[in-house]
Amino acid sequence: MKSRLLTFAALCGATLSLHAQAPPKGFEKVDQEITISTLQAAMKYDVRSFSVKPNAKVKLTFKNPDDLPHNLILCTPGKSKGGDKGKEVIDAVLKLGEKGVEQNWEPKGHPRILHSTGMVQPKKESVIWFRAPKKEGNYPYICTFPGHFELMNGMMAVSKRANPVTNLTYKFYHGKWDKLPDFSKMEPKKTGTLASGLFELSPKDRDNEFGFVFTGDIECPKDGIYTFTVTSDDGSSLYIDNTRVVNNDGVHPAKATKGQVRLKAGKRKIEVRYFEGGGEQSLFVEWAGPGVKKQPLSPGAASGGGSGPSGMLIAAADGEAAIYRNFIADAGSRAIGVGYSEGVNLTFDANNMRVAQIWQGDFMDGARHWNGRGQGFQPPAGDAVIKLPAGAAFASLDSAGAAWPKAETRSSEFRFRGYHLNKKQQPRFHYEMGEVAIKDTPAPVAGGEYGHLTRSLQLSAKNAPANLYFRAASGNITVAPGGFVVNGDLMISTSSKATIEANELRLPVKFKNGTATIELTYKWAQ
Amino acid sequence: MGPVSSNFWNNLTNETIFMKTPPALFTFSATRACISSMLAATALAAAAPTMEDFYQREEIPLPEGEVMEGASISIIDDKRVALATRRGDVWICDGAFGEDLSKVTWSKFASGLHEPLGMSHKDGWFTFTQRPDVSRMRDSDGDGRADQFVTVAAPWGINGDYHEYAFGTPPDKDGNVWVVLCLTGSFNANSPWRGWCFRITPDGKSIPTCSGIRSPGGIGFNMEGDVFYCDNQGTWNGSSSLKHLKPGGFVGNPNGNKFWEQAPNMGPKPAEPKSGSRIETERKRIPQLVPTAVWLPHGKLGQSPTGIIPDDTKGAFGPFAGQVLVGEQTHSQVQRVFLEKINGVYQGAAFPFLGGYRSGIVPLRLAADGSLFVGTTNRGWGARGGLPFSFERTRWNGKVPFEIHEMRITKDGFELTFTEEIDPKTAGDKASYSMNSWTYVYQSGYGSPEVDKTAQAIESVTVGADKKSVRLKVANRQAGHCHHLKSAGVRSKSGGELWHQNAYYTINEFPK
Repeated sequence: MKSRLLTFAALCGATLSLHAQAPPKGFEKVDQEITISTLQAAMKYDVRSFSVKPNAKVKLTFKNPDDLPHNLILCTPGKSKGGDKGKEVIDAVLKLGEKGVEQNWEPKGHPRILHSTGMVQPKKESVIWFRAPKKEGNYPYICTFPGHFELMNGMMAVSKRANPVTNLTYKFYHGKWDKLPDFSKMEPKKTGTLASGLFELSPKDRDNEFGFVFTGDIECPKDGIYTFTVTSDDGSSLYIDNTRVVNNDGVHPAKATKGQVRLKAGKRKIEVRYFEGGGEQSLFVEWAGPGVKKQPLSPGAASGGGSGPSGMLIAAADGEAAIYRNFIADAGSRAIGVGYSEGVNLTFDANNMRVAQIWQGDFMDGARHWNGRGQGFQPPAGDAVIKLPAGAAFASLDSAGAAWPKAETRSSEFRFRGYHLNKKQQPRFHYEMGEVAIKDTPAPVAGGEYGHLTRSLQLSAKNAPANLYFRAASGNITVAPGGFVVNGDLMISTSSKATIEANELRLPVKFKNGTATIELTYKWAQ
Repeated sequence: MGPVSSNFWNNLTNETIFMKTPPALFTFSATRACISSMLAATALAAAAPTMEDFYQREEIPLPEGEVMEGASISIIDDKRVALATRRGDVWICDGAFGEDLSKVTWSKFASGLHEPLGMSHKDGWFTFTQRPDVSRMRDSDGDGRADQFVTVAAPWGINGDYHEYAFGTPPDKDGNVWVVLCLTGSFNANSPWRGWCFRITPDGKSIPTCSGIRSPGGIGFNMEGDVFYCDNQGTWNGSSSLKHLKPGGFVGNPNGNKFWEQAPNMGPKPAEPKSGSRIETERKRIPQLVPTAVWLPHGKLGQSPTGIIPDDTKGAFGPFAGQVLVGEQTHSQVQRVFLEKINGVYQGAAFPFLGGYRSGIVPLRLAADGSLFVGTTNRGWGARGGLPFSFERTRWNGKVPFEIHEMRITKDGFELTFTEEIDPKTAGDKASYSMNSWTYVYQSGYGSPEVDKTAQAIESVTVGADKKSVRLKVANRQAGHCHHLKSAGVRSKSGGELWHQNAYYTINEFPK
């Protein structure tokens, strides 16, 4: 995979707001809300693990009904194997010595601190808003009040499969059964936490004759009927609030069984029991209900279906770009994916001669097209996907504010002529619009966690058209220092003249001696 | 891959056929065992011929950990062969002509192409056909990796449906690449020009050339430079078959004819064929309809025909120079086809030939020295052989197999020529031969049973003066039928059995 240096200081950006009553700008609507409370006289958080999606907007409410002050400091993953639960930060607190009290036991500026609630006094609460890190992993949170850390810690999993299961733990057993045994009478071989909230068999230490009991909490968003599906080989069952909802017991190949239950909104206890005799083994849990589209609660895919195929990531060699021509979601049937080892990616749509989307992190997963017959469109594998306008990127307009031509599946005005790869295997695209020949050169720029993109378009024409426009973006566009912010996600900068017309960022193309140049920078807005 | 039938019913039927009627090679072995035991008391039976007696099949080692499902092959020179994969990589194999294949080396020349199902090499440029277009590529800076990718033409539509494959030829004598475009889902023409054949000129012009294509598995030339493609059993195609792409022609499936008006060079649009009819009937009514050149009877001679190449090795690959070789994906075989033109229409005979490949053959290429290279895959469509993919070389060992060399139609029957001198007694005995025929329903439904079954009597046999040919006088031959000739009793002068005793001759025209 791509090697990149993680500059966590860059994504700290520190806490956006302490003890705030109103959300900061851009956080009026968040992707996820989580409430973590201290337990009275127990020196513990009530939520010991939860998961969020990469780059998600998060509102975290920290309540302290205890009689002692506590805080919650979110840290980057430790470098040691399995992480250190934030111990490095605690060591830094101890080094504060007498200054500790005045600094509220918080080693401000420590490189591993991402966000902090500040010290919250007894019976008080604090709300913070932040963007989740873009990189998947386990991020510990801790109370830094001296002596609290050992018991008062938890784990935030950043995962594309983030889900509403919190506090997920497992007990792992050895044994030979042909149906689910009474695990409560047995001694587990080991126990552990699955901060990701995903029911999975990976903690197992053998391939046959074993069992699991998974226990956690699941947040039901609304009152209503919920459906749980467990696909397993061999037997399994699922309980909500100690009532069995799914019975998929017995020795069998991967088999899906469903169950329904009416639940009140709020946190419900979820338990999954599983055993494996011999041979193939699998466990895949899904749920659906009011306000919840069918959502997997396990990694991967259910045998014989479930969510899209995965597991065949395509990556550029170090210092190079990878090309993937195929059917790519939102980029058309003649899509050319480009994954740069700098951690940024794009697709060029050779039906409409446009950059269709840019994104960060992983490039593409080949599993859809490289398994079986390969039907359909594959979306990007990474995060922070920004879609650029559908349809042709160039148009001749009667006036600067005229309506842009309607998007076609394939624009008839253009001709794609191919691409040239430089030594880093990075493409320069060639295409024509009538008599205008265009060379379109995107390039990655390293820096920050994932870097950004630039793009240089060189146009030439014997008879230069007078009224040609380039459309860089569409949506909610605002002028900001140094460029234009598009839909709050994307910052486009250009040295060319650019105007906002009909909710589109348009650049009139001015030819001089038969040539014209457009230079653009695409950055993810923070 | 387009080659293969994508229908459960069809697969089931194939399975049934396979169980009831084992492939020719196996039938042959069983029959031979029987005959041998009968003859054992009176004569010393020669060992039954097998492929290993004449042809050596070898697997070429592949780079560790790479998935190299064969999509297309191009001979670069007398040392190197390029293999394009379904995943879109192009690899160059150095040493592919060597005696010791364990010494081959591989280098990756390009990646990220979109299923390149057709490739050729000339003057440093690869020309290739991929899903979206016909392109050319080369390594302009000499670092061993392609850097210049030039789109030549992309006249057709694609919509994300896996079946919308595009297969292309090497350039013809005028430099044109011929491309056949599978129907959407192998049924409909939901994207522009699906079901059509295009000629792409070197300067990027696109010439609509034929309509009527369903689901191709490959495209290529015969020795005369005429272009053929394999279509797979399905709608309006009762059995897998080899079809002639005659410019201006309609080759059978009408679903792509809706684009006919956009091709003024094609002349008047053909009338709609009548479902449930026969091609022989409809071609009298629809002059544009080009009848199937050679049926590759489904289940009897493979069931997913793919690549097509002429044997242009002038004998380096054995005695069949000038004939056509056809790849077979499901049965992992190579069939042999003798073509002749009668009254301006192609027809001819298909014979079983090579087999035992490790996965389903899609591309094949013959080098001038007589090395046959095949690329294989079983992804999406199962294949015999046990491997998911392989790259294999086959060479002739110089020993001539006793085979029917050519099968021609005559005014009153057929003429067979043999690869070696025949035993006049058995070869001249009409009891050594049997023939029956059938055709397929020409219909909008999927595939067809064998219908209109007819028996042909072998009325007399005349052995040629050269002792290498016979003339069969045959009654009751049927236009539009596949004629199955079984020559079980024929022996060579030295008493050997035929390596393959089955031949399938398709009659469209009788010589006048």
